[in-house]
Amino acid sequence: MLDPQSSFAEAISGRCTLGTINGIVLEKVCEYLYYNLKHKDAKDVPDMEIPPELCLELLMAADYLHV
Amino acid sequence: MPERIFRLTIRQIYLTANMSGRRAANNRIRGPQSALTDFLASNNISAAQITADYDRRQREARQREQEEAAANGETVEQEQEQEQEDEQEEDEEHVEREAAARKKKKKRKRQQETALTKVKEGKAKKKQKKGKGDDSDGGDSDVAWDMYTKKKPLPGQLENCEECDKRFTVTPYSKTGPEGGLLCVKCSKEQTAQEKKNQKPKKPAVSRDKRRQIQSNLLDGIVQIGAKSLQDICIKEVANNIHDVDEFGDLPQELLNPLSQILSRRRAITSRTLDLFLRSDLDTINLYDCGKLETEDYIRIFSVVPNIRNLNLRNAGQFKDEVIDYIIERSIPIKTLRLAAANVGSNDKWSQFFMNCGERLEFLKLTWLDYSMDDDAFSDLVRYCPNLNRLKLKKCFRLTDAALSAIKDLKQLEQLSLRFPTPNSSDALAELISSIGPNLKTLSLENFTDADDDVLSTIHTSCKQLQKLRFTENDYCTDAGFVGLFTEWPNPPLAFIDLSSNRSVDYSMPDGPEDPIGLASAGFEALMKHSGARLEHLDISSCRHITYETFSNIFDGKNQYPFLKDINISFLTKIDTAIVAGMFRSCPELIKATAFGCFNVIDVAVPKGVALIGVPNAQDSIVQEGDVDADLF
Repeated sequence: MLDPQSSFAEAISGRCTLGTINGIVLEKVCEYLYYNLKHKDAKDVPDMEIPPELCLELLMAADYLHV
Repeated sequence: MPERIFRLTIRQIYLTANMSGRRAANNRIRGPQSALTDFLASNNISAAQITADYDRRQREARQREQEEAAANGETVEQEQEQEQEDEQEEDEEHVEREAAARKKKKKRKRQQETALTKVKEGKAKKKQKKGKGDDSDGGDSDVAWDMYTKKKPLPGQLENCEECDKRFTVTPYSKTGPEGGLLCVKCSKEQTAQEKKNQKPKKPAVSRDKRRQIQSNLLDGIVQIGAKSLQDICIKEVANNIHDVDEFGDLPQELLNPLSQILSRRRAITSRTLDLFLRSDLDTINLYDCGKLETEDYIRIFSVVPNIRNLNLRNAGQFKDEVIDYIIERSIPIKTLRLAAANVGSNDKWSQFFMNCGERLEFLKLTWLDYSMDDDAFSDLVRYCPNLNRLKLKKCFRLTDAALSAIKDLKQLEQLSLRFPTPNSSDALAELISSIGPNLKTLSLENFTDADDDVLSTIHTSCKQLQKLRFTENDYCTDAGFVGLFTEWPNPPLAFIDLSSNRSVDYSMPDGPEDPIGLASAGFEALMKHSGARLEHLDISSCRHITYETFSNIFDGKNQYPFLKDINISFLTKIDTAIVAGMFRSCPELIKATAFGCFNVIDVAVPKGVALIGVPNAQDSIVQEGDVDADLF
């Protein structure tokens, strides 16, 4: 979507709006992305801590973002 | 003499003090008194007594000193210092004594110092013996180092902190700094914190619980490299907190299925949690353990989700006639019905169900119905369900050859899986396959113990588009039969083959007859020749007449089976480490290898990402780093 070769609006403006995901959840998603990169080749990785009150919203976001 | 006087005064004071405060004090004419003395007196504390005690102690000490000095000429330096402070009460004798002591002072000091060094050295040695390498001592266990460190002040004295130069009171808990000096409270704390920090990454101890989890995952064929997906982590977290969840909101349908799997595994599907899965806009319900649901709960499923098309309920013991009535009454548009252990429904009700809802049914899977469906109900199934293309029947105890023969009228069938309770005649089975075989994509025949080579040859001639073939637990078909099946079979290569437990079970001949029974060497070679190029799943467990040579030919590391992901070689006792190593090289896509009872497989190097299950020695798998093409031969 953000690939400069494509002519998506997001690629042109360099800005991607995730209207359905609130800031707290998106921050957690970013935290996961770091966690995922950190444990890229590791075995038996411990699960990331997720606050229970956030898990449903985060699950929706994870499904939307395919992570 | 003076002691007696003192004692008397003490007594007097005690008595007068008891006679209440000021008056008592006033009785004795002693001149003006300070407020403090007054207060002390009122609390039964006498300044005079304290002074008297102090004097007495001084006197006694001096006496003792004199005696000792007279005896061996030694005394303690500290006492001497005290004496110096106490100049007022010096008497003549003491002055003489002090003079004598001063003369000897230098000599004594020297003696004391040497004694102290000796004691210190001794202590240091003891310490070293006690706790060698004890880090908390700050590395001061070295005797040589100890000898050159500064003399440590005793507790209670003042000292400058080594780190921050602040003055502080030494306590027994004061820490030694890196240079050997003492540290103040603040610096001590900082030092301990630093030590703890340094110790932390020492041992990433794998807890027992975690190791169990790893082994459990391995048995499920999961070898995780890298982190789990965020979805998986979240689903697990939701399942952990299921009792705090009021509703799932508009969670996508695909996510409900894994949630249901986890909750079913934990037996957490109850009336309450069932509500979370019911939403009027859904068309699929998967519940893998309905053991805790009542009949009303099943009815609620259909009342809340009236448009349900795919229904999958396992352990559905309370799925009774009332529920089937409700489905018929509301004409619920079920297309896919999978029921396990719904074993209290009556025959008539099943017939009624097929009559009313049969036309819509496309996929029917009934397992563990026990005695709740007989051949008559089954014939209604065949009659009223013309659109059925997937049929799976397992453990329905009352079905016989008649039901088996009836299946041949289901001309739309593409997938057929059967496991009948009683041995069926081989002819009925062959006839069935010859009539519906051409359409079949999946054929699964479990435990047809009486099936013979005719069945295999019928499969060979009839089935032209099979992708999945299961034919297990048979000791009647011969190796020649399997060779016939796979040799020049017009069917394209299969993706899934399960021929487990095709072997002779005559205990008087453990190696089997001369012409092998079951899947043996020639049959296995023909199989791999036919399907090896496309095969993804292969189960040949317990086909024990396949020889070692055949295995080493097939898995020689040069033959490639590019799609093979999952292989089961359990109880093939001839297989050894070299064969398994060759298997890893021949199957580059392998992710799961099951090898229970292969006792010759020892210390095999497992490629990264492969789950090798069941090898005898309980050990962590030796993960082979890098390329699989390491020299194994």
